[in-house]
Amino acid sequence: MIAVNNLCFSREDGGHSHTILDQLNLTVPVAEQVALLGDSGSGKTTLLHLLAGLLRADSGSIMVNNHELTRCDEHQLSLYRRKIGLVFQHYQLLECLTVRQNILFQHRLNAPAQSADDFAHLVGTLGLEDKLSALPHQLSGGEQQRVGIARALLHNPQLVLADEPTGNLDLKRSHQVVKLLTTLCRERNINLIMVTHSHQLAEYFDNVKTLKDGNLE
Amino acid sequence: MSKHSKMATLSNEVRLVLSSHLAFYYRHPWLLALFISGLSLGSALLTAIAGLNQEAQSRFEASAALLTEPVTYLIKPLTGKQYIDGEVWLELRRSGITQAQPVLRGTVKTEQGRSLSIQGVNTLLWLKAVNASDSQPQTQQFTEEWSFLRLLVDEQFASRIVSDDGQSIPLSLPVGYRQPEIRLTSDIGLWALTDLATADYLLGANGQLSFIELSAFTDKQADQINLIVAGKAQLVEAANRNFTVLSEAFFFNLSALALLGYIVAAFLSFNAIKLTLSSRKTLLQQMHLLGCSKQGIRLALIIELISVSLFTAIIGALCGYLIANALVLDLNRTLVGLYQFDKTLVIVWQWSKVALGFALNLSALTVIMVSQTPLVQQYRRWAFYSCLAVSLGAGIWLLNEAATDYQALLLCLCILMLFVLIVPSILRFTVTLPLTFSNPLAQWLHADSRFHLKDLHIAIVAMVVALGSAISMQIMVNSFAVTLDRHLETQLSADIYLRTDTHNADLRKALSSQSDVALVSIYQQSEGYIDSIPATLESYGDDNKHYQHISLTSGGKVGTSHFAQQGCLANEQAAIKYGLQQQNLVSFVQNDQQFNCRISGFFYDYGNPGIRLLTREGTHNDSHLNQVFIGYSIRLANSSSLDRFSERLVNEFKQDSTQIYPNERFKRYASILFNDTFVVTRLLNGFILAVALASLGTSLLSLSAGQLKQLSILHNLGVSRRQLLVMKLTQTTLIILLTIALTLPLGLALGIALLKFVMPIAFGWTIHFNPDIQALILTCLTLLAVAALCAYLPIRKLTRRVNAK
Repeated sequence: MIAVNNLCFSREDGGHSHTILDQLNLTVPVAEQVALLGDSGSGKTTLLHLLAGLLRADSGSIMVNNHELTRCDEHQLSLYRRKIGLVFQHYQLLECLTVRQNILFQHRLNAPAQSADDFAHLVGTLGLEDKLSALPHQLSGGEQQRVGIARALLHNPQLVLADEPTGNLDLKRSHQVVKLLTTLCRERNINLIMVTHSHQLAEYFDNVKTLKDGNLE
Repeated sequence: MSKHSKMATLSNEVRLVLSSHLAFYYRHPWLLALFISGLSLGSALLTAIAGLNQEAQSRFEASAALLTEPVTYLIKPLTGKQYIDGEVWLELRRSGITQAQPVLRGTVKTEQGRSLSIQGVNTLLWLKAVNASDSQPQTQQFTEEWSFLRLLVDEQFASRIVSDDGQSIPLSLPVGYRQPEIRLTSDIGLWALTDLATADYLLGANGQLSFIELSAFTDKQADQINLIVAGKAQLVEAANRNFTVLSEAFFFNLSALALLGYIVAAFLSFNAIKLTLSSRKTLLQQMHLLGCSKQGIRLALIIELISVSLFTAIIGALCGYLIANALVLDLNRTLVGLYQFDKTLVIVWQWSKVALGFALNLSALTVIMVSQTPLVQQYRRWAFYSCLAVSLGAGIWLLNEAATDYQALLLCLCILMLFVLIVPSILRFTVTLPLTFSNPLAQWLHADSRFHLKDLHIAIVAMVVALGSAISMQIMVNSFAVTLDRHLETQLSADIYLRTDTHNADLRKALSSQSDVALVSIYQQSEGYIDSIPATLESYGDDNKHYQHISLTSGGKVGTSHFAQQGCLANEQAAIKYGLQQQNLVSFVQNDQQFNCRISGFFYDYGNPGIRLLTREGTHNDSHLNQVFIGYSIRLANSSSLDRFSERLVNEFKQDSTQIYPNERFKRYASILFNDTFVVTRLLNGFILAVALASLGTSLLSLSAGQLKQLSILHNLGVSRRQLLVMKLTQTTLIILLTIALTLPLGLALGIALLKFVMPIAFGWTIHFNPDIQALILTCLTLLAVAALCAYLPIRKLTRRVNAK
């Protein structure tokens, strides 16, 4: 369950304060999947980064599964981030680690001793069985994104935040990736919030929100 | 396309490519700074030492009498004599040899008891020389108001002759003598300058001269000169003077160190150049895709290469000029102390040093660029094994056969080369160790280190080379200091040294008969040559007990057998540097006198670059060699008080208190002299270390810059800043520990090579191995501190970036 109340965020730009989010309110029930639409610069990525604890709000509150993010310190935010799943447009894979190590990274960060029961299933579902020993630069864009998805889901997060995960992929692969992501999240009752520009891709989601001028329409 | 339009297209392309390269440097100023500073620092060190060496040589060969022509020959007093009869010069003039100029040197004392060295020259010639040159404006003003009784003193000795209130301190002259007018000026040097007649007047030389300088003369004149000087003086070739022979090893040592500095700096640049090339690879590919010809791109690179070489050579020469000026005082002290160099060095700007730097930089850059070409990369393996085999083979051969300075240095170079070759292999082996980690952070750390170590290996090699050299220098200097200390402890075993230039048998007898005196020895010496090598013959007394402070290389004590059957002892240098052996018969030549002796043993002797022979007093006196009496060394009985006996020497024996040197003071003087010898070495060593640390710092920071994206990802995935800092610290600490682990064997190997080969061959001294553990630990701690800083900075940058968001 996510509850965002009166969220404000502004950015200093050339000595002027530029409001990005203005008194934004959002509620996402447990396991709901939300697509965030909006023009470039409307504040979609900012909202996602605020939900991920990568940015700090000027005012307002963000409750994620009973965690008040705006009151967390840096260390608590780090601990929070390792519990959720993050999928990025540019994949953000660790270039020196193999696919297997990348997928297991966050899981091991959370529970070093625990074996990843879901690993084989997830890797199989995502079609990465043959790529486990490869390094990220040896994979195609679609494959790298699937590694990102596997990494985001393996540790069973309650929330996955995806920032335009199909931004670098063609339409066909974009549909494959989003379908896969939403299906896997639905199977695991995971909240999914995904930023996208595509109305077509937004159709895979339970709910579609559009950001305009710093607020939801 | 016509030839003209082809050229126009090419020049347009080159301009375009060059402007893109400039734009690249504009956007990456730190890379440019690193690139430039590496090469500049390297050439600065080399040009500084080359400049100092050249200046010392040319200053030594410069005319003291201010002849405009270079001095080719000198007429010197017979060995063992202080002066030449002035009649020799008059005879030369009468024979039509006008290119001969007399110089008189000596020391006067002020009424405050301070010494001032003065030099008398032909004033008319001096005035002519100054007027002909506009480069000495300060001295020129004195020519306009010249008086024959004027004494020009260098400003650096102002405190000796001018009181705080600006008044001249009178010289201690016989009653009724006129005081000279003192004028301070610059660049005069150690010898205060005056007219020859005034110097004669002040020194009471009675028409005698110190030496006569000769410039170009004909063979016929040479015969005439030889006839005139026969039995009265000696004609010596200027180029073969002792300074050149003796100081060669000293400058060789400094040049070798500077070359090492250049290698380290070239490594620093190599890293920057590699970064620059790899960063520009995409740029060059894009330019090629957009239609630039390979020829144009290559030409632009060549232009860039030449421009950078020239630019860095000019900056290097400028820094070299500043470094040389900063080192000149220390170097001068060493030259004065060790080689009796009697002129002040003044470092002037030399364009030849810019040319030297340019040639070196161009060669280094070309080698670096060529080593990056695919063709060379293709044969890398072959080149590696060839170099390894050559270095190993040459190293083993030199280990057994090295006999000259260059061979000894080549051995050090082989050791360095071996390490340069094997360090990357050791690094590769280390990172491919099959270590498994379950902790994801440790896993990342291991994988990342492995991933980046190949980028870092040049920096690590540079560090290993620089630190290894620095450690070896530390070992050498410390070993020398410890050995010297022990040597001085035994060598200067007397309690009091009494300086006097005449032997007084009554005084000696009276001193020996005192109940509080255990032993009175003398110190007298004769100067001469053994096979054209400068040598001295010394004696301390007639009994073996006068020689018990001498440390024989055999470990035994000096006994009767050492002086029996024409036996004499020789210093270690005679054996190591000049190849004399035990039982060799040597001829010590002084003018037309010859002293033959059989070498019965060798003794340790530090700081003397020439040959020293020891014989008994009686044998020495019977040799008919000219002798200089230096003084007495007095060992007191155990119960005697040093202070009380010093007082007795002054009051009872009427000796000059300023000529009485207690042992401790004498030791201090000796230590200062030897410390001065190594000041320049230490400074250069520190400089190399600084360059190496800069290399390490920049390499670690450039690694961190590349890692920043990865660290951001880790941060995004929930790794806390504290964890990131611990990881970075662990990584850099491990890299440094690995570097130290590789550096220590190199430092030890080089240190041993320096002590066992370079020092004995270059200086003729055996120095026992004594590493400076404290300095080693300090160096390692400094490295770790730099590493910690380099680990912290990217984390701080990341934090700032997060906060800025």
